Amino acid sequence: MQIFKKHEKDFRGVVLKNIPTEIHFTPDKPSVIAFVDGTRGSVGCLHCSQPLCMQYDPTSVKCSAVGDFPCDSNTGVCPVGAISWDEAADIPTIDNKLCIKCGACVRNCPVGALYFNDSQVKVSIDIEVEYKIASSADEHSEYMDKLRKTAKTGLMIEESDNLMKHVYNKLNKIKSDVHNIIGRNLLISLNNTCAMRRIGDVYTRMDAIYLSPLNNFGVVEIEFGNDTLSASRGILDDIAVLHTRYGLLKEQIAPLAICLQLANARQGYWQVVKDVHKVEQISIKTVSIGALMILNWGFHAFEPSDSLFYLDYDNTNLREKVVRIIGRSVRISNNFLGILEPEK
Amino acid sequence: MLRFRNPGTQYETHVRIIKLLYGYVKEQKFFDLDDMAKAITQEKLMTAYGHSGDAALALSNTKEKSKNSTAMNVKMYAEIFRMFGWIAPYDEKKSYPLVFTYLGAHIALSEGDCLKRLYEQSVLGINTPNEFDEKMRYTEKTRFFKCILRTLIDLGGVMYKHELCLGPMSIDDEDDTAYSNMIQSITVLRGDKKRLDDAFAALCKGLNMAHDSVDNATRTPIGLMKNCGWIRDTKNKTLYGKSLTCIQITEYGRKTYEAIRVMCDIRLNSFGSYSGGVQAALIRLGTYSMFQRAGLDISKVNATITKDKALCADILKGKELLFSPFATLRREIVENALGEHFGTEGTLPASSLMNMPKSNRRTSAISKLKLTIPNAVDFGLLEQDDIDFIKKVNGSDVKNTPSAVLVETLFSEYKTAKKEVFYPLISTLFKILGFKCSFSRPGDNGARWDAIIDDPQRSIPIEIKSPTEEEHISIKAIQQALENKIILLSRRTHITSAETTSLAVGYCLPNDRSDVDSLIKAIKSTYGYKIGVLDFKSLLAAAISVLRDGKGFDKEKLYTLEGFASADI
Repeated sequence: MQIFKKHEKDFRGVVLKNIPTEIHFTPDKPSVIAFVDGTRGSVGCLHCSQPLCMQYDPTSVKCSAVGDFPCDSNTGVCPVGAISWDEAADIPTIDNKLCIKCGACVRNCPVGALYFNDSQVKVSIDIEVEYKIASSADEHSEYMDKLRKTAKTGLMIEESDNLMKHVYNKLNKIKSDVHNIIGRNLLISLNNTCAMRRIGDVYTRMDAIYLSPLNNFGVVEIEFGNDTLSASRGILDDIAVLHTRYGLLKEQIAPLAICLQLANARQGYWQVVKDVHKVEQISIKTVSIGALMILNWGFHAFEPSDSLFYLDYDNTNLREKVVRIIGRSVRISNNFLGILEPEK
Repeated sequence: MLRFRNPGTQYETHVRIIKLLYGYVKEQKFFDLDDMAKAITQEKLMTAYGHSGDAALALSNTKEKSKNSTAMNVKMYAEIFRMFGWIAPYDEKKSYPLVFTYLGAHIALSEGDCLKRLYEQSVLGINTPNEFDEKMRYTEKTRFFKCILRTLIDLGGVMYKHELCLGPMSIDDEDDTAYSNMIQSITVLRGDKKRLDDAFAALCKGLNMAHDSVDNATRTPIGLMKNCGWIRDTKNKTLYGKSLTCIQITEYGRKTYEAIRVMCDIRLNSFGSYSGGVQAALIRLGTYSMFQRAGLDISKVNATITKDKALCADILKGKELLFSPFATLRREIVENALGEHFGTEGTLPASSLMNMPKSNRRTSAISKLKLTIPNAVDFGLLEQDDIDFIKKVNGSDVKNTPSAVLVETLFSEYKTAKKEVFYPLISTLFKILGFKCSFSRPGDNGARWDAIIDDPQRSIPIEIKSPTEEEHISIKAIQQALENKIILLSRRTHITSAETTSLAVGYCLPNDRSDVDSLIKAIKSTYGYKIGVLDFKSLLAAAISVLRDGKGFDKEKLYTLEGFASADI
């Protein structure tokens, strides 16, 4: 049988002469790539045939700790579908009206061709270092695999109240079926693997499971509304389901509640988290979407198993945890939108 | 109106299933739905009750085929894939078994952007009538996705889903008058949601279909258009004066329509009017043009294309061809034209769902609380709520009413009770049964449980769901009962022990008890806590038995209740 293969004639994939040692980001500027010989320069889109700014490696959306987990197979990097491929220019294009500024696409581009400028994701096309056109898609893919290991440093966008207000305005209007994808993709962006329950699968119950950079396994509940208590309840349920369905002990599971805004100080959530910790020795970690974005903008990792993210009635301050990771103060006002402290 | 099956609309799932299926059955002469089910569930692409793989197959394998969720879902996937032209019936006279088509094989073997574009070509190829859907109840003649893109553009780029049913899903797109009338009729509907709702209701009535069934028929077309990047969701207030989630055509959607608008669009009717040689040439040209637009290298067949184009010059008139033979014609004519034959070699399929392990889902047991224990009423029934209820049971007007009838009467009477009425009532019933029970005022966020049985050693928190919150006790109530238990153990506002039950009380027992039952068992296994579930009618029966006959149930059983319990007179 004659099976036709992809047309190679128009393949425009680019590879650089060497593998860089670092890709450094500065807000509002294209990233700068550095080689071991001291050569530096900005690098634009390399015209991947399977663009990593758009699609995750399928292993990222699975969780090897529970191989049987019936996960969603959507590998889209952009949770809101704001990125698409411009066939004519052979580069990604971003609909900034849809974009929620999470930075997932910027971080997943292996060469740092995407960057924020004036709070909008731009695609750099100029290549200032030595390069050549790859002879085939396979050669290009092999180069990309090596390039993906290059460390990204710096800051892609500077956090501020204005930026967060803009982002949260969008997040507040977003459809509920996107909430889990936002949480999942942020965890993947922060060096975790994360498998999300399929949309409409009511039997799986938990929103997602993850495996952290330090190989700690956990369950995730994602809550964008005010009913944060449903997250802690859901987590207790999830742990029971994981125990009976997959034989995991509750001690092996690091639960994580991702919420749009931290629960208000007087809400029952914080006390219940404390109760659960006291009675069951289960530490439910809590983090806001905004805090995850701040970590992502600075190319940090998220290690949920770390006691760093355990907050409860006695301490609801997420700011100090984020500061400890990023090594500087966070430029978000106190209590602003419940991102780093409860709003009220 | 066109009916689209809705097994799941995600692009990733579609292509993963077809690729897996190809890997599973490529050596077989043909395959059936059981093979599909095996391939899909083994790879965790479908679940049953939260399980995947063999467990999922076993759990969904019921005697009644129509209730076998996996089989039904697989059948829907098969119909969608057949609509795409990826698979086709092996036998011209029967729908099953199936074989891969030449297009399906290319879908299975393509990757990345090529795969995505070939998927898009498959969607554009869908048209009715075709040689597969003779048994369908609809009669529309349309290349639906071309028609919907055109409609979206002509209606300002935004449409509400019910407009799809009233418009492009219900017309012949080559009939210009019908098309214009459709655009006009939707334009007239706009501005008044009631007008749209009335028109939609009339459509449902005319089709003899339920509102939700017609509504659900829009899921697949909307999902496929999103997969192709032609539309996105948008909130719109202007169409009908209230905020509705609508679909909005993207720039890429507009470009796609502009590209296909000028193509030579061949349908089944016109195809049938050509000679055999021309038909074969159109099949080849249709196939290769789809492949070319998807980015596949078809240079090896350039000579054939040139020859076929010359033969079809009068039809094509220099235009590109828009025609998927795989979505239009039976496989024999397509395979003969292409010289590529499927279903001719390999082994017979061996698997069958009937051989799968049978379900091991257990029916949830319900403990019967026997109303045989002498029970005197003396537990501080002093609240007005308590006095009112006792009057209802012991009043002169119901003196001659049999207890069983009274239970039914009161059960119906409280069907619309809100929590302000229901929580005190449940507390009263427990008091009648001999427990010291108090309820929390609704809205009192400080008290996490809705009521509590206060006991010197073994207090029991009670999660209550009034019938207006949920008629049947759900998973949520069980989650809250667990939370109540942990809170009580942590805060120690009342004395209890880990072994004492935590109760969930609702108007009716859960609809499908197995999920609640499995959660209760999971909680016991993981945390060691017992969750007991009682329904309102059982509590009523027990309380009326106590009030009228002086007999209740063994109270001790409540302290250690795990799972469902009921009582009747």
